[in-house]
Amino acid sequence: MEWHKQVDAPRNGLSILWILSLAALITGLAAQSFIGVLTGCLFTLFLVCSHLYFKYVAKSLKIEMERQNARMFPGDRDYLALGLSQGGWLPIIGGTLRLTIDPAISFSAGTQEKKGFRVTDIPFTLFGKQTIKINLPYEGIHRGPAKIQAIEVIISHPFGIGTLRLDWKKLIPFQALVYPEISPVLDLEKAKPVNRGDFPFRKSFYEDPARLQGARLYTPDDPFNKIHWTASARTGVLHTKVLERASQYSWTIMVDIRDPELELKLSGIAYLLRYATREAIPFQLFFNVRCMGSVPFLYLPRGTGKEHLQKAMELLAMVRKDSVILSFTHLWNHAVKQPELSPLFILSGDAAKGIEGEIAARKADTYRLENTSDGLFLTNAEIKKRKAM
Amino acid sequence: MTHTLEILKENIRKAIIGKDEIVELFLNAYLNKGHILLESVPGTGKTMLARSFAKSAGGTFKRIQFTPDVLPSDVTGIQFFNPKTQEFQLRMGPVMTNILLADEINRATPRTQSSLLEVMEERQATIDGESISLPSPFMVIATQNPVESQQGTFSLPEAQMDRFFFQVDMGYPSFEEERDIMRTYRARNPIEEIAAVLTGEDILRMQKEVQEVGVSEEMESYILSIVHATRNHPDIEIGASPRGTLAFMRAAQGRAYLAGRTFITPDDVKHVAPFVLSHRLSLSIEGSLKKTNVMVIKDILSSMEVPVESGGQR
Repeated sequence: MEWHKQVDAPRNGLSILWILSLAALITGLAAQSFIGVLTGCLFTLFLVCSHLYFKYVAKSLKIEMERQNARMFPGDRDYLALGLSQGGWLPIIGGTLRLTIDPAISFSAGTQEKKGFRVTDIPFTLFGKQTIKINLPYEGIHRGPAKIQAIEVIISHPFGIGTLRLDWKKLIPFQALVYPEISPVLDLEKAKPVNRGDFPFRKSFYEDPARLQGARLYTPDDPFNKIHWTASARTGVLHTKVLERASQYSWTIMVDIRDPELELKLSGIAYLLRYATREAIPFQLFFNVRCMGSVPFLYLPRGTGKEHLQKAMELLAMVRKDSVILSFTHLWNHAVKQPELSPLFILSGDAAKGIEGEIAARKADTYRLENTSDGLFLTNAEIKKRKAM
Repeated sequence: MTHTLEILKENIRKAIIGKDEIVELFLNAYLNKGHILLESVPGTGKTMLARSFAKSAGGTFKRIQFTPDVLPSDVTGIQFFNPKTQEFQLRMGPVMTNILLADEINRATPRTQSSLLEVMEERQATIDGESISLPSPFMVIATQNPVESQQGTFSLPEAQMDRFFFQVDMGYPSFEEERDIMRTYRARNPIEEIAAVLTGEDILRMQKEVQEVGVSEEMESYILSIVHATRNHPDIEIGASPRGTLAFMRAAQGRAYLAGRTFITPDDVKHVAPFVLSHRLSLSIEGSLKKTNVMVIKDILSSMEVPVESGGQR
């Protein structure tokens, strides 16, 4: 049995019907009245049939649904395909298929809001050994994941004595993910790297072999290929090349999920991410959302390309404002431990401002994503400070 | 022809359960002198299927396990100085075979991956300026795990993807198929029992026959309209190439031939379209956020008018 079953029938009413039918039967027998016995038998037969109908109608009823994962922006449309199959011989007349879904999407027809979910009723009639296919169009409403929380089948008794409610027990393989709307961020050019490729940087494990800074005295653990032969020949003492520290240009974006303007900021970040992908700028994302695992917060490691953008957009779609949060100091501590620190940080939300001083101490640029009357802007925190001084 | 296919399927079924359709695609690619890219999550039998097919199809078989330190010369071959003879001597790499299994191809560096470009397209390897033809028939079966789940991998360049005739996603077996797998592999390794059921001569003969399968003008137009739709679709940045068009037609011919027909039908075209085209398309940024390549191809196929009259015209 793939359903939780619940019979909603008036208990007192049913009891009275049973008593009446038995009474009619006994009275008919006692009075030797054919009509009385017939009435009693019909009543009893009717009640037995009702009981058997409710008992067996759902025994071979199945929901057929393939795994469906939809990705969309608000306003986009798609459809949910599911099948309802009656493997038994008992027909279902005037049944209702009720879907309860998360509010990020809405089915086009017959949707009501109940307790924060959207509930859609689809009437159907299904004869024995029949399968019906239902294609339900739906539309992305706002950012967030949307799952079908419940599938119910409501079967009314043909003569109106109660209803049978069936609740689908199995996993429902459907998820729609609605990305945030993309809102342009103005003045974005200043966050674009002037040069492509490696970016000179003081704190990095990596060196750019094409950028020679100078030479120093050789020490025994220096690799052979770093010996500065020209300087060694000129001075008669072995020298080692000193190369410029380099880092790949990238963005680190840190998001405070308790920002009162979170939805707008996420729309702006979606724009930034799309821009970064187009310009082939690697980026990593930090959210101050506490998570289980070795990294105790929601984090997307550095990467670039369309697949990376898709993962980032999925995170933006799924992040919830009411999640348990973590201090930005933890996020910063993780960021600073990486072998390559991004030369540019983009911070969203007030809580992120606490680490601006730390970032500045590492000589990285910091931009804030701020909402102004003209729209979303990237403002440089350090420049503001200098101007104020 | 259907009899040959059945024998081949039966033979491979000893070791690989529930992949008859993929075996048919393998043979289709082999008959069309194409190469196959198998992509799936680890543990779904990619390498095992490639080995089983190679053993069944006869001929010689070699395997390269790609890692980041494999060099182009490890693939194609090398001229080395032999101190005994005091001469440079050519040592061919594993490409000198009929079926080459390039396992986990996306673990090799782009430089090494590129060494296969000439091998796959021109069926020759150039070593120190000397071009050496590869044996015929020749087929590369490459496997890779989905790129996004891997660290330390290098995506195949578009030019190389275009050289693969089919890209096939193995997918998971069904409930009953997996039960059969458990029972088959409980006490033995059935791949040892697989013997060759085809010869190189069989393959060469069939390669000639498959080219004679007819493609009517309506079917040409149908194939072309699908290919051109990939170039104009709003979710696609780069559509299928003319090489893709040729592969598309040949794949449909191959399917018709394996079904014992001398002409192709719209069903042949529709069936092979996702395998031939999906890896040749590059979706736009917006498109890739909402759809996969296969979904876009299905969209295109559903929007195309299907020719209702097609016959065995040549």
